[in-house]
Amino acid sequence: MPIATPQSLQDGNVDSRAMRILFHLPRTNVLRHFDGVVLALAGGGHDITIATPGKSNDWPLPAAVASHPRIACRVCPEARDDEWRDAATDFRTLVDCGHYLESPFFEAEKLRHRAFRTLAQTITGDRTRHLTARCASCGNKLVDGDFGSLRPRLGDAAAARMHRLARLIEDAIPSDPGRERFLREEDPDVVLVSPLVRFGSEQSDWVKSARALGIPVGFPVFSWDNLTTKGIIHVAPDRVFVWNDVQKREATQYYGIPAEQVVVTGAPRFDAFIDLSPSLDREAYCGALGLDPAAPIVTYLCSSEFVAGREVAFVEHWIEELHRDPRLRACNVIVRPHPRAVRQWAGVNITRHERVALSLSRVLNADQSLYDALHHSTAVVGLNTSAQIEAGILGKPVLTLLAPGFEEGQQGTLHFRYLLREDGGFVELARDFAEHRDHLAAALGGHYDANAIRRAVELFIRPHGWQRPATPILADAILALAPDKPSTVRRWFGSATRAGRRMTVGSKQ
Amino acid sequence: MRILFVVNRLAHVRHFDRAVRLLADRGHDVCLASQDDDVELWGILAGQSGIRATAAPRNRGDDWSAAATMLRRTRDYLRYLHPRYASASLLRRRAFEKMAGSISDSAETMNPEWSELLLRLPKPEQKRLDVLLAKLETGIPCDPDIHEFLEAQRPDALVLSPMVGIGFTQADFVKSARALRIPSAVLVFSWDNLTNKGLFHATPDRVIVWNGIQSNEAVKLHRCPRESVVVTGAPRFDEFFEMQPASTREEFCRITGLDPARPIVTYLGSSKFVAASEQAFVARWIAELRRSSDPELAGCSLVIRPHPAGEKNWHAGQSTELRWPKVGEKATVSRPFGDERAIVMNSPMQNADAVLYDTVYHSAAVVGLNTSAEIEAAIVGRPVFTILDGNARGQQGTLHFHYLLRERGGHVELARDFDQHRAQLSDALAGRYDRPAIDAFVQRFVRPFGLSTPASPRVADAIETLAARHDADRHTAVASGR
Repeated sequence: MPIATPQSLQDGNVDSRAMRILFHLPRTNVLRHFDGVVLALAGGGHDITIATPGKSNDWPLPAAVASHPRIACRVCPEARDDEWRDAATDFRTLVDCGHYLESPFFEAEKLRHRAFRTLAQTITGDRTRHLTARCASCGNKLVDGDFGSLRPRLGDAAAARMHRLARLIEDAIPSDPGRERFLREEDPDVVLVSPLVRFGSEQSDWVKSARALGIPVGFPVFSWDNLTTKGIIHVAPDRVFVWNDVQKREATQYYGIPAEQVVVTGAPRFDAFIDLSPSLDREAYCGALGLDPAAPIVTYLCSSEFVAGREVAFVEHWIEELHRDPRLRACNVIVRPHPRAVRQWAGVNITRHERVALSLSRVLNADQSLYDALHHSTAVVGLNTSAQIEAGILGKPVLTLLAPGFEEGQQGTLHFRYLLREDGGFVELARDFAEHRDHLAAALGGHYDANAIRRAVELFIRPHGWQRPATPILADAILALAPDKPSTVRRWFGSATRAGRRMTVGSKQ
Repeated sequence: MRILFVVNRLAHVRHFDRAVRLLADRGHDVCLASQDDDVELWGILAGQSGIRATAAPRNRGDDWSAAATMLRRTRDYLRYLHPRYASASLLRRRAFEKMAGSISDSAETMNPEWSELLLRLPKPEQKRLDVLLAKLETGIPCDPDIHEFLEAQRPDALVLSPMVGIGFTQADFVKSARALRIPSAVLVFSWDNLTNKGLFHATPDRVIVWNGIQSNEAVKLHRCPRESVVVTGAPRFDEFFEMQPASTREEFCRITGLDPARPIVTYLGSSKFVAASEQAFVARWIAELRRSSDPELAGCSLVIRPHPAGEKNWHAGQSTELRWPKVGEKATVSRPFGDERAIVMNSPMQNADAVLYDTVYHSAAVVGLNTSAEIEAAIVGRPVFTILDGNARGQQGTLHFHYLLRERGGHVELARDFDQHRAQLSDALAGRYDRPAIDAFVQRFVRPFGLSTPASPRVADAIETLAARHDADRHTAVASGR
């Protein structure tokens, strides 16, 4: 995979300001959205430490990363090393849950349900125990996430009070001595954390400790939905690196990050996908899947289980709807299960339908099979999934429809709207099957604005221009985060200051 | 030594005014700091040298004010999910409403019925939440205003009362006192305080309690170290113990318009929190007593004494103002129930109330739903009865109701229905009741060191001992040049 080089390194020289960058990830699989950035930085002469808690079932690092002489991987503490060990995480989970009682998240029923489920797990401290109650009004049994369906709502004033409480307590939680020890040992010039916004995120403690030691911290946002579907930013980093202006607005409006601390870089995770090319020509591709190369292909992109649960029955119904329409009956259909939900397709004989193929893959990033399917498709359909963006990248018309039973995973999330054409995106929304069939027929007839799709995708993932990959922009932004002086000097100053501080404390004692 | 009392209302000092006076009499400089800005001393404290009053900070003055309240009220609510409070729905609801009120605006939805939702939250989960909230409490810093106030007062001991209001700020005084190395004590205000309000939120160096029951409550419910609890008895009743009737029976009946030949049964009203619609209950209670087959009970005189903080407007129609013999206290009498032998009589006094004393003294039996005056009736040695009223949720819906019941070691006879209640009252009117049991309760509950041993000197001793520790520390520090 070609690695884009940061702008500042394009003269081919190793940066004289060679830096030490520590990238904290809760699991190695998070690196898949940033591996290009890490390699670019390392290629520029910077030393990267990937710090993870070292879970036994972690993915192995990509070979290019693992073998790079400037990239090291270190196991770091996961839990705090003080009496705030459980309390900090429990408290943050509570705050994350409270976030879904406020506007505009209040209408995100599905997300609130998940937040309460997570809270229940936190309170029980055990996935085998559950919180239960009887609803005072209807007498129904409530279990875990169901508490969210009571719809306790916080108005603006109450939300402001809760924010103040959360801020005060968060400020009162000290920097974790264990993390400080680790950071002192590593002595990085910059700390990066992602995804940061997991419920009860212990990564907040990395931000806190880095800031306590005067090390700048950056937070590259992991994905397009991350700032609206998970927890909040409990401790503000020095920089938030976002994909686009939508995320910039989210960071400033929902989490109070000052606009000047938010840097729009584009989405580096798609750079590798954009660089792909089809692995098979149309004849060979259709031949491999048993499809008719003369007929157009419609690809159905399944969504995650969180969004769509079990989607198999709906997909079958969707195929039947297509076959009912003489305009669509002859087309090929590729069904691409979500890479993390392939198990639900085991034993499903979807190919019993004529000209329907299944494209199974567990690859989450830069998936060649996805690229091939989209490349050879005339139109793409999905309920609410990131792969719709990849379809947009290839300039394909992308369609969705409001599907009965999936309301919560569609309208019940905020990010669903971001891709819709009516909200400035590129996905065509149908209210029902009849409208959807019309949309599909139009797309198959070539009646869509490919330029508009490209423009919308560009704004979403490469807002600095289609020709400007996000990887070097993010890498440059990370480098710009470090203090503007040679790292060795800064490090010397830092250690001298810390030694001085220890002396001061010692003399007080 | 300098003793600083911080009370949420200066009027509450009435429950331990003798202890305050004793400390001053022993030469200490006593300051009564009130959080209601009331600085006017009265009774045995007025004009007394060595005693002064001042205003104490009412709330925190920093950013934490609302946040600390919210956090503490949440923790206070959680305590009512414990199985020991399973039937205390009234307390749970009050705590929930206070918590919701600190978070939500009135227009926002916080359905009070949700107070019961988490009732089945298992104990391990309750504990986990409580541990979390206790930990968050440690993150609340000292309040600069309170800190400054204590620094300016420089007391040798800080005494707080009542400390247990839901989400209360007095915990912040304890925090600052600890930071300033001033020993602190909580003086328990009343018999129900440790079970039906909020938690301490900050642990004082001493907890001065009435009796063994409260001692256990302080340890078990408020997590105070056993060695920090001092049992003194209840100082608020010391004056009541010394009282003598201000009126003879004939005088009492003459001024109240009752027949001296008939026995008197007194009904002691409860607070509005305990019994929200007590007048309706009393009307029924009178009618039920009049239906008794026992002519003594059916024809007895009834005195209804409304609770000072209970339902208002008992005196519907005409009422008469009286001056009580000897003491000159005011009393108001009326007959709102259309029964010539049933009067409503109250006085504005709350402590050592001569009207209450005489009323109970001249009564053959006393009835109440759940009120402190039942203890005063026991001190006078009268048999006390209660009957379950479905509308009075402050009976079985509280823990302290059970403390006074005979079946739980108390002195109050409980009736499940009016038949049983009438039978109990008939026995009492005939003199068939267990006086030694009543005295034993009073000793255990109010004067654990003997009926003739007042509590106020013991309270003063406990405070003095605490202050002396600080005084000694200070002198040691001065001597060693620290």
